[in-house]
Amino acid sequence: MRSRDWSLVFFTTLAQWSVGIIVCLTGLILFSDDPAVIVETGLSARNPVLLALLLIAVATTSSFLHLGKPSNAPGALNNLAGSWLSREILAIGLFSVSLLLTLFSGWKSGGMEYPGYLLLVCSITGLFLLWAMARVYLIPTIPAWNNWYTPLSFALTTLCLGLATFLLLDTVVEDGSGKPLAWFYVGFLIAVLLLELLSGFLHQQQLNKMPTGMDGPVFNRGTLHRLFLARMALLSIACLAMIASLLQANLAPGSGALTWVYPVLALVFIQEIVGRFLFYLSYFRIGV
Amino acid sequence: MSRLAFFFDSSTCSGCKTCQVACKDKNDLPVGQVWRRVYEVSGGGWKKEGAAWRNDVFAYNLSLSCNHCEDPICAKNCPTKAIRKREDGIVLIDQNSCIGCKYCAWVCPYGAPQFNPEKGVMGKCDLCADYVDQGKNPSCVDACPMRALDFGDYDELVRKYGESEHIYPLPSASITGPSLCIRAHRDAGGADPAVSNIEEVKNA
Repeated sequence: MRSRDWSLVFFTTLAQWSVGIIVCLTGLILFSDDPAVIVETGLSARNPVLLALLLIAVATTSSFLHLGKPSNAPGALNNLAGSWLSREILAIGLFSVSLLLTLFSGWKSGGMEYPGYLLLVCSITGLFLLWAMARVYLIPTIPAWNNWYTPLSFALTTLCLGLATFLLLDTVVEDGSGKPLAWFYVGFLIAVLLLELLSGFLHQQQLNKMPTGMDGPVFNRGTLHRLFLARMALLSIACLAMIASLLQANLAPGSGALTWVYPVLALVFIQEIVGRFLFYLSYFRIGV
Repeated sequence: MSRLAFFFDSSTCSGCKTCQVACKDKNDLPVGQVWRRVYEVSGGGWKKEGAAWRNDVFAYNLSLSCNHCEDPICAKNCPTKAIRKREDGIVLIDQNSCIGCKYCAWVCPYGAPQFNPEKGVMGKCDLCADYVDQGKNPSCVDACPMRALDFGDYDELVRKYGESEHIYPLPSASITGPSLCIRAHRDAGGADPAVSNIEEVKNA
């Protein structure tokens, strides 16, 4: 991994975070029975659509830092028929435009919700972006990426960051019966974190067995292995803390247990960055 | 469509790297850029047989550039279509449309495309297309003092030199269909081969 690849770490993570926010918001609005959902639609940091738009804007800017000649970037759509990289760029455009339309529509209405059909369009374009992003890395000559873990880890990052953002924004408060809906999200987040832990360990076992060529990375010792263990430790701590807060809330409802969840969410964000950094470090190709 | 290709004779190559220098000179490449590289492969060791020690130590060289593959994975994945294949099979990079995303360098199993930080774009062996158009040989072919390199139509090269054998450290030819015909060194296929000049070639 070279220094310019850091821009790809941030590009992919921030773009997936953006998609995660929209997918979770759409799920909440379209599939909840009667949730008391507080969605800001104005120019506020608590507006999820605005946040998603800002994230995708920063992600796209970050991706430009990876290019040797950004002035030629408009030509990146030339190979839509054959290249997943071209399709990924198209997907960024579609997702950004649909976000912009949704934001404008919510802001114009001045209400506390976004039109469901527009959020659905955002989610579909966002999921297309997620799929295109994963396909970019499913390259037959790069065995460390060309496997089940790439699409799964991208999807888990999307869900994890999306759910964490909703908890941070206090968007989900309680449903009609007075039951804190936020705890459903905490439970879902715990399940995602556990899946990240499990898939991380399984993928590491797979990497350890791979012949990495004449100058490939070493997975079962050294820096890569230590970083992997550090990420797994962060994930475990985040998971245990979330479970503890869930238990505390059940034992003492209304105790405000969510407040100390925030530092744990910071851990969640950090481990996602470390995970993506590790992903790029695992690069090696078949051949010379 | 014809299929221009390189031939490399691993049994006669002395590893002098004149091909590498000729390529660098012809293409005016900056420090760190080598479109043709010579891999020094060695392996084997000493084994005790009764009261004696017998060695199966071996070494050979492999001169490698872009193989102008039949199914170029670089061109297939290039988002700008900056990489294209000519009628004669030469795979070219149009540096005026390249965005320097380095995706081609990621995917190529031969490490052919290389990023030129001065220009901000990718570059690779173009089989000296300008020389070929004038009816001349690529510079590396003419520079080789051992006549270990040749070029021409792939089928003709195979007829002239025999079926190609893709020796270590080359990947399986089935991945991209490289237009490369190799005469293997007699010791290729020996025990525990490794590239011994890894520092020299690893950034390629």
